[in-house]
Amino acid sequence: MRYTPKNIEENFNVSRGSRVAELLRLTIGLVIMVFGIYLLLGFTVDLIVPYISPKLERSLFKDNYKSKSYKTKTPDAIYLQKILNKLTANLDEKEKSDYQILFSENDELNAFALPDGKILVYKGLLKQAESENELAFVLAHELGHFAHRDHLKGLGRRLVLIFVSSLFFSSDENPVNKIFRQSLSITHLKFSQKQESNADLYGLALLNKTYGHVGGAADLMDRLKQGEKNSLFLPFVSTHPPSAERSKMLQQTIQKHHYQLKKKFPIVVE
Amino acid sequence: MADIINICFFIFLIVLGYIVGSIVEANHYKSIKRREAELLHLPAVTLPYKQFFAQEKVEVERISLVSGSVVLSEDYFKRILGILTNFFGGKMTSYESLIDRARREAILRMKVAAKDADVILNVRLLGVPIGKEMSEKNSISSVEIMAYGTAIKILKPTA
Repeated sequence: MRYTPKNIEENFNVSRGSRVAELLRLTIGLVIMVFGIYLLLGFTVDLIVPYISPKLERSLFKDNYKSKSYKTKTPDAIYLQKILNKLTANLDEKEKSDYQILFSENDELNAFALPDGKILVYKGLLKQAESENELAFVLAHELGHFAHRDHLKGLGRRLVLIFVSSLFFSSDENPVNKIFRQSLSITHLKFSQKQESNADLYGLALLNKTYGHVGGAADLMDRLKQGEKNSLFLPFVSTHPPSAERSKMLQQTIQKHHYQLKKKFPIVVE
Repeated sequence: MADIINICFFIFLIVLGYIVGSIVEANHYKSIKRREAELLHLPAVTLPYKQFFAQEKVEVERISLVSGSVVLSEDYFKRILGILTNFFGGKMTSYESLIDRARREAILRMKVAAKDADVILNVRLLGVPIGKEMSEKNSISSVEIMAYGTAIKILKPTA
């Protein structure tokens, strides 16, 4: 047998075509799929949430706050609780529940509606506020979230997020998975901007019912929007609509409903 | 903000992986093709001895086991494309060129190891993944390809 050496020029073992195009195609496919499932499950959560009774909610989250270092008995917390009680006294009968202030010494400027009627307020908010009415509006806004069951929807969506990412990828450390979770969480935040606006409307109405006027409601927003002017990304990544937008919307609502603006109460922490 | 930085960094890594990976791959192929042409005179076949020398009687001067192995690693671009392909199924095109290069490089190294042999018979190829699973934390993902065979040196009749 004679061996004739022959150089094979063409490579049959490597597929033709651009790898970059393939990457783009697969990425787009994955994005469509993940978002499709995420949206579908998200809507399902929104459908289910109204059927979760406050009783069930309480039993689910009863022990949730025990280990955290939130204050309920400090002067700050007691002061906020007083304002909250004023507001809740004016709620409709079916919305009444045991709402409680949790106070955090953190300097962050924020407040959250947490399951089981807890409102987490950060010290930064108390520092920024200049009147009781401002704080009351923030609390009324959070009560709006409770009334619309947004706190459970947000939680449900976060659960969906964890579920979707664990469904598609086995490990958390997978870079593709990580990036998808991050981009999903941005859209998740953007999702709730409409809920924030609705909570603002609710808060305004409740503030008016409690104090007889809405003075101070837009004050905090007016002060915040000064600080936001230089931030490019904020409208995109923020949980709340930009303060300027909110302030504008509040002003419009105040005019539309002919709400009064009267004297504001000072902050008195005993 | 941190999310956006992370995503930009991720895209940057993919682009960097693609550019660097492509340059490395192009250079490797160039080198493989040049050396393949140089070593073309040395046959490396899967046939056993009896079949290869079925028609001619030769006197063997030396028999030796020769092997060549190479470990090649993926780049970031290949890895991401691999993860995506892994999800949808289909041809793992991102790894095709990697394995192809490793296979040819291993055969070349085996040929170099055979030195002045006249033929390498019974050639076999063997692949071993190195590193943990792709999805695991801090994993490296690379592959070893080993080529081995029996190098035969034939005793040349003196003229």
